[in-house]
Amino acid sequence: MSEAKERNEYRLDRIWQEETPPPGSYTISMRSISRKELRIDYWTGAFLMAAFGYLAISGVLVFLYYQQGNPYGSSAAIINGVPLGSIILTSHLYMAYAMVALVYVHMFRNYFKGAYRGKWRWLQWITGVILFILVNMIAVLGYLLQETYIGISATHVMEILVQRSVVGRLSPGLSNWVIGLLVGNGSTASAFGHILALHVAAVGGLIGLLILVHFFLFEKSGPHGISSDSSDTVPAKNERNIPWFPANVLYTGFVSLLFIGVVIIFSAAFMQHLLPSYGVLQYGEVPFPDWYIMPVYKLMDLAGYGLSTGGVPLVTFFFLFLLIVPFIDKYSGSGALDRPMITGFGVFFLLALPIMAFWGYAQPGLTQTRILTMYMWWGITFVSFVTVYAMRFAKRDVDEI
Amino acid sequence: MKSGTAIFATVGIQLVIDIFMWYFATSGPYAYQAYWAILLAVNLMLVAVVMLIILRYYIRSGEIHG
Repeated sequence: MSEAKERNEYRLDRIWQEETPPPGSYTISMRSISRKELRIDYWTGAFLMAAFGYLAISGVLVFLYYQQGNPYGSSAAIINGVPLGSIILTSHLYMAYAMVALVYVHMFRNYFKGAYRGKWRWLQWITGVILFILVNMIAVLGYLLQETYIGISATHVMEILVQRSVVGRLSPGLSNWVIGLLVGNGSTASAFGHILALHVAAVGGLIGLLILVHFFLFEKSGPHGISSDSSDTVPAKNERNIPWFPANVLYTGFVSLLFIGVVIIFSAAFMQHLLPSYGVLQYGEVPFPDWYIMPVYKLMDLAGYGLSTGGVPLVTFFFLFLLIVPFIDKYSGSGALDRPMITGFGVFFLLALPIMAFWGYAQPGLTQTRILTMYMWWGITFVSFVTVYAMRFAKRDVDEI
Repeated sequence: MKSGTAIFATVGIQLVIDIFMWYFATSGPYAYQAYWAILLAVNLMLVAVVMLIILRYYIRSGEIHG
């Protein structure tokens, strides 16, 4: 039997040429895009991928010098004793800030656009919400790694929260196991070894895997809100498809590199100074957590309804609501004002998160009274829903003119 | 300006930037690291510009499927 002769191909640009797979193959396509998709708001996911890529690379560089038995000392040594170390650590921190901020932007953008509805979009949304939770988790774990006073305090708060949560009350053994997972036997080397493993391998790896699933589901469904079933036989100029390679790759590279450049400039302009280490808290110094933790930090002061674990049920509700939103949104319209209840909840979260953060900076750690908490929550609720419904009525009036 | 000329000009600027990056990295990896980082950022942004030029050239050339 003669074997088909196969020759080496050295023109690497041909690697992107489409192949026709044999029948029965399962293919994952890299979608072509239309020119009207070359808009920055369709690329919020690409920014996140760029951020994750940069964090992985800068993370490996930091990892080379980090010592779990000497977390604070080695962090200080990275800043002061490693060539270009300060810029590497600072850009790792700022890119993490950017990633947390972008994960909110990406999620709320798709939330208000209703991009969670569609054949496989619900699943893409759910993996996205899990990624949202994981990104916040990895950020908090990274923030604990420097052994600053605020980081260690946060670790203690987490231990207490686990102990006092429903899990801890029903099964103290299980809560002890969870705490052991986070801090090991409690010694510095053990605790930071655990936190490092969770930060780098467990949560980092999980994010990497889930990003692949999320991206695959995106490639399966395509961008939301782009109609491909145009009734015109000849599509408009900006609706014609351009191939994934090189158009999509070039545009992704373009927005990613610009974004990474901006973050590096910020890092150069505002180099990170390490906060005081645990145990050297000075008189008059108020420990503030990072900005993305601040809303939850303040929620813990808002017991308000007699819940011993403060804002934990509220945070849980936030995540649960996000997970079930594709199944409870039964509106037929797709615009934000066509789905007033969903949009109202979105505005509620958009207002509540920064208000909690600012309140946290203004009155850190100050337990709030139940009446003040009630005023705050009902105020935010009123503003959120009344404005959305008022705009809906106004839009209807305008449409009737 | 033709796309090819624009790319050559951009890469030329990058080569000049590279010399300064080399200088800062070797002469002051602690003291000058902020300058080094700014140059790195500018360099990355110039790569982004090259990508944009190629993309625009590609779209204008009309080699469009579908």
